[in-house]
Amino acid sequence: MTSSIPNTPLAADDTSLWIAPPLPWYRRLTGDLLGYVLLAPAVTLLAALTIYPLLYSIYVSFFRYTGGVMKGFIGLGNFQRLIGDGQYWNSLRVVAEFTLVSVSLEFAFGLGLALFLSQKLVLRGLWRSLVIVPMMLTPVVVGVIWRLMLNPGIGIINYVLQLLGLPAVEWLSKGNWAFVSIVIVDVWNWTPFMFLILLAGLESLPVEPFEAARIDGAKPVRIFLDHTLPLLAPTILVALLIRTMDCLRIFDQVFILTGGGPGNSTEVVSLYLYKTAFKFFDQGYAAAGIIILMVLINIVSMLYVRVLTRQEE
Amino acid sequence: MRKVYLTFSLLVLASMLLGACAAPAAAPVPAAQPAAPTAAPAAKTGGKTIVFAALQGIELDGIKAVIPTWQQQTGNKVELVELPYANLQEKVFNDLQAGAGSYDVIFADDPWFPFMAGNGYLTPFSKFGYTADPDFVQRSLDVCTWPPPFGPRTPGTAKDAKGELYALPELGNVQMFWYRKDLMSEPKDIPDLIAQTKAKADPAKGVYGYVHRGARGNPVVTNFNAWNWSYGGDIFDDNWKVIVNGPKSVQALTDYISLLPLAPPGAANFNADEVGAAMLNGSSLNAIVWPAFNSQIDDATKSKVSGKIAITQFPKGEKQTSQIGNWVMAIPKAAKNPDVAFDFVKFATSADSQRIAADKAGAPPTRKSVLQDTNLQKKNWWFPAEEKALGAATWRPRTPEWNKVEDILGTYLSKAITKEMTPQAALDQAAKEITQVMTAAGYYK
Repeated sequence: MTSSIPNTPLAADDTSLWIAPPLPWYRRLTGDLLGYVLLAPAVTLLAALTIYPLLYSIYVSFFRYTGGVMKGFIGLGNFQRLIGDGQYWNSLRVVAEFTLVSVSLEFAFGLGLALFLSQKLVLRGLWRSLVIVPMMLTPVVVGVIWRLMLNPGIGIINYVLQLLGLPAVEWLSKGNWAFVSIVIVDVWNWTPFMFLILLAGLESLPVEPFEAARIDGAKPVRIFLDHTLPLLAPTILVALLIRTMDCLRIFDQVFILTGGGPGNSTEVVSLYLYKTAFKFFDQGYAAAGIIILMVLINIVSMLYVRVLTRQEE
Repeated sequence: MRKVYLTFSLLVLASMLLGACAAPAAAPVPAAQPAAPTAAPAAKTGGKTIVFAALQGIELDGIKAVIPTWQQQTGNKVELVELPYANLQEKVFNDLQAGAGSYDVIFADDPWFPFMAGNGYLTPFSKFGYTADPDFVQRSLDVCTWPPPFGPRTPGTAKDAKGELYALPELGNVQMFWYRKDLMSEPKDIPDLIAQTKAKADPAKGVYGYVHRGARGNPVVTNFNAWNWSYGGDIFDDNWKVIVNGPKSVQALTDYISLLPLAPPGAANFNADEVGAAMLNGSSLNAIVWPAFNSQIDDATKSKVSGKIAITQFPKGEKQTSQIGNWVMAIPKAAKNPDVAFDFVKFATSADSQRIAADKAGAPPTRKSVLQDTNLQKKNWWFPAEEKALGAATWRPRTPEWNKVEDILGTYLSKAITKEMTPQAALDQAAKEITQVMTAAGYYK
């Protein structure tokens, strides 16, 4: 009796007789499911650290919640109180002015530095590294260093001013100068960030339009206005957006430099809400203040994004 | 590569799930009632660890000097949680309100005491069978007593309710007056202080006058309180009516501000360390300083005017007083080891410990026997003046609303000293807003 089994070897794609070992379960994840699994850790982390506190803050803002104890639902009571709270609106005004001035100056200096240090210079790498040093310091350290430097009696700033024949200034103890001081410190601290982003943007611009413009005899100012700025616009908007959001939330430096004074001339909104939540333990009210601040920041961000989207179109 | 990513993602996810399932590190525990008075002191139990929340800074140096001895004697341990002032208050208050019992002993500034004791967050020391030791300066014991033994009481507190001890005073901080004895004589009263300061200070030559501690909030309120009370002014009367805009307070603020042109530049934003520095660098004539700085006066490595500064009570006006700022040791109701904690508090505030703390760290004592110790007085020659100042000191109003009151007053005092408002307008506005706070808190019917 002859065997009915053919002698020819099985074709590679013929699996009718070959039973493949089962794949581990994770190898079987494909398509959308794989995407969800890969995203899960990040989403869980985000949910735990950002989304839950945010939702909890919104929840708490509808309660009289003082000293960590929930004392009853009051609906929009906290928001109504905020409408009549002059200190809150003053702190929003202060932070808005601070943001406008600081971000404008940081952008101007950052762009200038980026343009300058994108040229071929001797030791260019060293200069670039030095410029970003302030950004690496923590805001608390920056505050302490500048508090000493701005000390009218023993600080180096007044010493230098007097060497130059200029009058000494009481930086942190006069209303307008205190505001100027926190702007100076923020500009010193964060211009490097603006510089870094704009430099990256500049270096990624296409070369051809610039070469063509030069061949056509365009002057540097013309090239800057007609080519550099428009091509750099998306990068500029991203940098402005990040710095605007950061400035609206400023806390550490103001806390150390002026504590919000003199009077309440430098009391930014974060400082006011911190005081409300952790000195007066009126957490429900502070949460309501934070929600309004968050909405305002979102509106500003959306405006930026809208401009950015239009630019890209 | 995909396998690596997957494995990593799963590990992260698993660790997070495990973390979520695990018991939280500082899980709230029900407020533990302290045990009945223990006949056997905790010293005999041994092997326990108490968590001590304390202020980071020179105020703690005295206790630090005696902790090793207590640990050695009892076999227990102290886990020290050192925090800067604002963080300490924030963490302690949150812990007390949540009843979490994270700390067994709290080192607290005396104005925090009404909030802590008034809300029932502390263990009364009678539970440990303790009665007040008459060796403590009475005013220091007063700040540890609730309801307060004199002055207005919070709404709902019976007028005849007997005060109980809820803490013991460890650090006898009280505002002292420093002046340059080589440049001026001891002012016989406040008008004399103002006259001498105006006559002797010459900012053009780098000789400044009175050093204001003018930073907004607690610093300027603390500094001005001594002036206000000495002038006969106050923040509240005996019925919690706000009187901080009364004529005596306005006069005090007017005179206080009149010395500002002679103060070191920037004094309107000075805090305690800058006031101390302005005196120790020899540039200024006089200031109100906390005793923690006293030991630096004769230390030539820290003072340019070693031997030239005298320490006395703040000069008298209508009365002679300054602000008390004792640091007290209290035990939360939710403390996990109340008996051991009490043993530590008793030890740290004992006369022997205060002697060591004064000798090694210059810590101002709260016990008469230590303040009057002639051996210690050789080195700490300001102790007699300190004892007098402590005995005559005034406390900040005993209300849990003090933080809000201080913030309002501190903002308007700051506006007054920066000339944004006149003294009268600033104090009127402060009085109005303080009244609103007290009304909301149910102080007026």
